[in-house]
Amino acid sequence: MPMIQIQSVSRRFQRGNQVVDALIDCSMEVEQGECVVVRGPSGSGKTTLLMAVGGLLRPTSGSVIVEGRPIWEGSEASRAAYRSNTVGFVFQDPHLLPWLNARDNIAIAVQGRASMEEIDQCLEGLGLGDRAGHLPGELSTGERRRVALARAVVNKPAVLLADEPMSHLDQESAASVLQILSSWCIEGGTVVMVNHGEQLPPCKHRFVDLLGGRLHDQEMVEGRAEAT
Amino acid sequence: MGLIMIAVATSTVLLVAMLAESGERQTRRIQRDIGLNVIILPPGTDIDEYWMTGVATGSMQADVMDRLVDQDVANRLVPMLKQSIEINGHQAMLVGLEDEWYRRNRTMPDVFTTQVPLGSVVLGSAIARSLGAGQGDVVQVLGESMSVDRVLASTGTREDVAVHVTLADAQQLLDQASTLNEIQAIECHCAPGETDPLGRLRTALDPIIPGVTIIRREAAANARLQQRHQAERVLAVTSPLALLLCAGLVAALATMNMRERRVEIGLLHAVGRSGGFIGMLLLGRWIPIGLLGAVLGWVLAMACATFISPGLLPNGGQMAIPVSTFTFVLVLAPAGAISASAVPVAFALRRDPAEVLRSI
Repeated sequence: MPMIQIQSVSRRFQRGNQVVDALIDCSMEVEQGECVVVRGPSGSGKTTLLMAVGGLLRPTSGSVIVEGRPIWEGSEASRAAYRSNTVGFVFQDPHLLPWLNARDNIAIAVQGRASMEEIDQCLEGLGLGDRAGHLPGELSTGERRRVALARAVVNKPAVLLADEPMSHLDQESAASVLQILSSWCIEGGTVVMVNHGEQLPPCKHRFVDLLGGRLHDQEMVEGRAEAT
Repeated sequence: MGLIMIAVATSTVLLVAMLAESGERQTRRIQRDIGLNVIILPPGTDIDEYWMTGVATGSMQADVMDRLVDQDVANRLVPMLKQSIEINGHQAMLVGLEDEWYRRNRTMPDVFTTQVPLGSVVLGSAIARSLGAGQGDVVQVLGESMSVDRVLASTGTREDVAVHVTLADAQQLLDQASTLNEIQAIECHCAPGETDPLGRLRTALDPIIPGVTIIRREAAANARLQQRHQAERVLAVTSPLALLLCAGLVAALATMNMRERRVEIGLLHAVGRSGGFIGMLLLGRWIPIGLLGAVLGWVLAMACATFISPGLLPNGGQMAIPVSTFTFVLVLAPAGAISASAVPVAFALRRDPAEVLRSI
């Protein structure tokens, strides 16, 4: 059974008299351990698709099934549990709380399973060991992005969703983030990421193109480098 | 900012409460000074003679009080037995009186009556001067030696020649057991625009004491009425204004919370925290802020009260916060702050996390 099944998902936004179809009848499947890169121009519905899979934005119609469970058919409590236990989300904007240091920003996502030691290990693994006590305002853009990534992976979710995780990052930081995502995938995690930049994950990945809210060509690409 | 808003709202509520309380106290004091305004006399009393002598000629049985206490038109009933007497060659008015009878036998502190210990007398200023008697002296009243409990200040009325004793002592001195010849009371139901207050009194009291003579001291009753209505008018203006201000502050607080907390709510929601957890976390923060705001509001209210008291209460009246009001505000301030936060929290939790985060 695929890890993620997206079945005829549509999402319509209405602002005043203006109606925008962000997603139109989208269907796709993602296997466990697969890395999917969603591409497309701005406004093509990439983030909306990721949000719908992440249990963050209800589709207007269609179904999203993760680990065999239709996530939008349960209660809000079951969706909260899904967001906490099954999926990790890296937002385009890191959305770090400015009054909490890096460690505490990660801790808000922890629900009993990860200890402070594990949070520190997570930060260490992302090269932020010496930045745990720093406030977001004291971190660079790349560091903030990595803290957000640590917050997404700290609960060791089965699915990692990343919305343009390399945007506004220099080449070195972007490569570091891609390396982390690839490693996650190689270790059995499922990754769906939005990326319309030049840099691609070094692991084996599949491209999915979104144009005007519709899914198009799907192309399998072998990784150019093995993740470590 | 939230703390300041809570403090301002709290101080406003406290100031209005203080205004109401001090106004009520002032009203009570003025009304006490105005005195009782209804006189109930035995059936068949000759009014002309009553006004001439101050004593009703007829009498009533004391048990009439048991029936009078349940009506709704006159309250704080003071049963009396009055008689003109002579003490050491000086004319005086013996006034035997009992504690106030409050409606439906409720117990309330006496306001209008002159408290006299059993076996003692309280002298009006003029008769005390005539007798050369002062506190602790012994005077002969109708052959009985009675000690002077105190001497009243001059009132410029017939009270200055009164010799006050308890009703029981008066009944014994005059050998009129279980007898009254006057009941004084305060008029109830002072509805504005009442056209025939005396008729209303008569309609209510006549069935209890058939043929009863009722005097309504118009000036005193109307002054009481006006004072009461003026106090109510002040509150009628200030209370809604205060409520409006508090509602505005709570709404502003809610809007501020909405803006400040959106990222936090959206993020916590997005990482899988339950609505209950987020609600408790965010709302719980307002309990200490609300309590602190209440204390600051109290300080602010006290400072304002000290400043405005002389203008509002020119007769040396002091504005004070009743303990019950302060306790109420200690609960109300955190509750108000929580309510102000609950609205945006509930609103944000009802939306998908993506919508909340996207709107930042």
